[in-house]
Amino acid sequence: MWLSLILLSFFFEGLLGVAEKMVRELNLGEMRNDYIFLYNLIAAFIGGLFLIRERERPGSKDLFIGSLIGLAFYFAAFFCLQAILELPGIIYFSVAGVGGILLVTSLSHLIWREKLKKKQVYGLTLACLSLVLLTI
Amino acid sequence: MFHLTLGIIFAGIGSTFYKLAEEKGCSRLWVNTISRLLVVLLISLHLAFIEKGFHSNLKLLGVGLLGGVSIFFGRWLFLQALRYGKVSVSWTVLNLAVIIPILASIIIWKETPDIKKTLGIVLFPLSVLLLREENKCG
Repeated sequence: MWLSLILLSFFFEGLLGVAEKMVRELNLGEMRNDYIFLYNLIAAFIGGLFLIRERERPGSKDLFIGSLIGLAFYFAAFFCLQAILELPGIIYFSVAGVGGILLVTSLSHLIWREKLKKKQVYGLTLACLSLVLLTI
Repeated sequence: MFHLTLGIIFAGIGSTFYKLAEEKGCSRLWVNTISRLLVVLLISLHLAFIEKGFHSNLKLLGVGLLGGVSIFFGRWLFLQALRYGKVSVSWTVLNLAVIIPILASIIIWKETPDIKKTLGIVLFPLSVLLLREENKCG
């Protein structure tokens, strides 16, 4: 179940990357903030449609944790956009990819007491290597 | 490097909040929708006060539609995946999605991958196989 869900998520996340590539290819780079506004608005609109259909009411923890996620990713995007202007792509993409994986692995170990199996440690190392090769 | 470090830290914190949402039994639809709405609110303030307005055209609308559909379903499925797997492993697989725009560049924009990218593409399925979680249920 995990594998099929994460691979579907991976596919959609990849499509988001394709959309970002299209922003560059279609010379829409100057409208990058308009693009970020638009795709988040469309995502919120789709969510709204599902919520109307499901007639779900929000709990306070839904609103609170949802807002924390939104804030965290807004600031992540803000600082990453600054960084991409300052650093060469070869450094930015490798450090962002591998750094993100290592930080989340450390945080999940500290907060959620997640323990990786030996083969998952190998997989993580291989994923970092793959990410560096793909982005340099 | 200072801005990149902050960017990585905020993204890392965001991904652990996803796990928190799953642990606390939050509604995935609400969490996903509220997080997007908050970004809309913050970026609209930026557009209103710094860029003095929102600009759009048909191309941007098309790309925005692709991006919106992708991020909504991508993060919704990611939240569901966290019920069965570790956040560290799931986030790693999500980070590897960089392979899809690379493949799209090869297929759509006829870009030729160099030896490093080819090796990275070959290593990807192997890393996912190693990272695979054993099913808790289902």
